[in-house]
Amino acid sequence: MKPQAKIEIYYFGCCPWSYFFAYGGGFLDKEWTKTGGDFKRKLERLGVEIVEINLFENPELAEKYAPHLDPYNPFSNHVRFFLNGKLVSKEKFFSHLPEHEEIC
Amino acid sequence: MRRYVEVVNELSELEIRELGTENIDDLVNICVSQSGISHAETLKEGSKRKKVWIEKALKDFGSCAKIGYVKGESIGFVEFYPVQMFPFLRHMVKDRKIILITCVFVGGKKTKGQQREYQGMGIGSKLIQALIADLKQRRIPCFDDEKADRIAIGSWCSHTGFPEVLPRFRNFFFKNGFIEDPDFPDPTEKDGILVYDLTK
Repeated sequence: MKPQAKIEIYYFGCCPWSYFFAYGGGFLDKEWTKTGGDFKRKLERLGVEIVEINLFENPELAEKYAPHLDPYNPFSNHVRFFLNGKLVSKEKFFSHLPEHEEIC
Repeated sequence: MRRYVEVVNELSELEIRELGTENIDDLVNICVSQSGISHAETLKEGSKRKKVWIEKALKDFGSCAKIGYVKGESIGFVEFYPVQMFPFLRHMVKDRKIILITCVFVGGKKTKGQQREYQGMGIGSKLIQALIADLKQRRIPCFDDEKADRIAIGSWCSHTGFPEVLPRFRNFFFKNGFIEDPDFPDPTEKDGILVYDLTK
């Protein structure tokens, strides 16, 4: 049975790069970055529920769930991965998604 | 809109303009358009969200960036906000009147390696000095119409995959009068917060 998958994206609304990096773009994902692929849409197509949290609007959530964020750093971002409501690692999360090779 | 012009070299005049509602796109597009990946959808979406944030900041705070133009094209900026606009930092600064620099960038076309056309010409320093001069006389609504007393910036480049840039980053701010201040501990315990004292 397909697990219920959810991602929480924490980003700073003052910096486009914070949002971009939170979705996995950037220097660790060169192929995706090169193609400019829409990582968010791919996640949605795979049935992943996406919750976006602007750190400016929800500081209490960020303090609770993303304490390592650097508050002086506009690039800062954080992602939490859930399967069936349970917090899991990124690796475990993607290993349970069909066609995950396309996007991670 | 306030503007002033400085000669950068014999070929180019730098014009520094305040950010206002009419030139938000000039600010938002500088670093994104020169990245080579401006077609990435999440980067475009991030830019839209930045625009929303800036529109709010302009209403709440007033001009929050100085943009450098050469031949009418925006080529760099320094962006700054009262630290009270950053929920995470409120409890750290209490009632202090601090302006936080969130970004400083000078770009242009790539010349050699990672170097860009307008880097190394002192434009970043001119932007920072314009900010310092502005804040020394500007009264800030969220500081009860008093002036700011400090400018702060985190040494964030080493957190984002550019640790090799850190010495250059720090030297740039030291050259412009910033210092390490024990009253501003780095919450990440990494590379420190740099501070400029506007009261001196």
